[in-house]
Amino acid sequence: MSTTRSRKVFEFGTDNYLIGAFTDPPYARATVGAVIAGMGIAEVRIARTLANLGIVTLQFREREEIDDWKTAFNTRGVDNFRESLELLHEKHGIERFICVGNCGRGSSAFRIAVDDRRVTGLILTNPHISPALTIKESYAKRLSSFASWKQLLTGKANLRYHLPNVRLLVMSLLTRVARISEKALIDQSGHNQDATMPDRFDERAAHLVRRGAKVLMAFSENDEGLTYFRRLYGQSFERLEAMAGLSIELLPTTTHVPSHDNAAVSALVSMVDRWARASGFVAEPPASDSKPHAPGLSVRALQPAAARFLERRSPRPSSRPSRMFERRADR
Amino acid sequence: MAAVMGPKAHGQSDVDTILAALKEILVDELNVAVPIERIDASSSLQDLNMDSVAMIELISAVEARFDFAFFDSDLVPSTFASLRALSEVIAERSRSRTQP
Repeated sequence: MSTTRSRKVFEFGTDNYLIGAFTDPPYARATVGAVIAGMGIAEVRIARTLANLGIVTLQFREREEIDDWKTAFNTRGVDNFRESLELLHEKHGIERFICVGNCGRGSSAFRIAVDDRRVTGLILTNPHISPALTIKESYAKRLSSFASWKQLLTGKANLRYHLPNVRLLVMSLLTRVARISEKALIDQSGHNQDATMPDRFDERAAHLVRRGAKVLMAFSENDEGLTYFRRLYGQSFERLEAMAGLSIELLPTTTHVPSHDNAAVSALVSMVDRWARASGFVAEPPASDSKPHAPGLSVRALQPAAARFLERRSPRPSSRPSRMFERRADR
Repeated sequence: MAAVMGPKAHGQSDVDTILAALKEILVDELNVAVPIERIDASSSLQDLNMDSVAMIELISAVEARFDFAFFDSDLVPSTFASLRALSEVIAERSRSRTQP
């Protein structure tokens, strides 16, 4: 049984732009903290798994975000991580951090780890080395898919979702013609660089592990990010094999967002548990202080936050699924 | 609070009692912008326009109201697929808490 409980959410950061939730270890003094971008089921489970190992965790999300994956490309991803690290440091005195993120948030986590030596652990799920090339992979699959064509021809395709990607594909073609770099493409495409892995991922990852950081990368099977990652680093990632400290694992799901799938959530938390133990992040409970505690942090409670979000977001008919779920249906 | 879960929760009637308590939490504590009469057992969090922050608040409110901690294995997407599914998990946890 879990010995941890989720705590009430609160606002923090510049202009209270972020929403956070701590999950405390069952014993008093954590020496490692984890900053987890996102508040889906998978992130809640990761928070509890790490907390049960003695790691205090802070999940965060942007205030205006409405679980729409596209907003991840329009956020101040690295700054969000930076502010979350500082909050954990300020409230818990933490000096060693693990950063966790899915997709573009994983890229932001990677960037903050490169910048901040206090980050000694990284958990990246479905990170995209290149959004441009990942989108190209995705649309190459769609072009040969009867279901995609049927969706388009029957007017069921969400054009608002597809237009930015089509724009990026056109720009990709232009960059090939004009022989300009992919970085320039990303700069021009409206994609936030925080949500993109930096150039020379392998060199930067090697630098991270040389300084002692441990990295777990988990890919959903058939995720476009995985396809491209394999193209760069080999079908079994053999071109990264020499990089001790970097673990690459596969999730048994085709869903890009692990929170959507029971099996993916369970597999992911098992991986995280194994990885954290093997990487030496587990804190032993102090013999004299093994009882659960309830730290009284002075953070502003947000209840009833749900109502405030809903006011901002209304009107949205309850029968209309969110974009996140439309995207899941696409896949 | 109209519905109070006692320690001897068993069977369908208990799931219904939990369901009633869940509706109260949603309306009174989380201020879900859906009239209580439109919330039923088949309602999902998406039907109630609840986002991931509201889901965390719901987890926290349920653990406080029913005085237990979810098993980690309870926290999977299917638990939150409908209020009935969530009520059944709460009933199960209430039962296991009281069993010797």
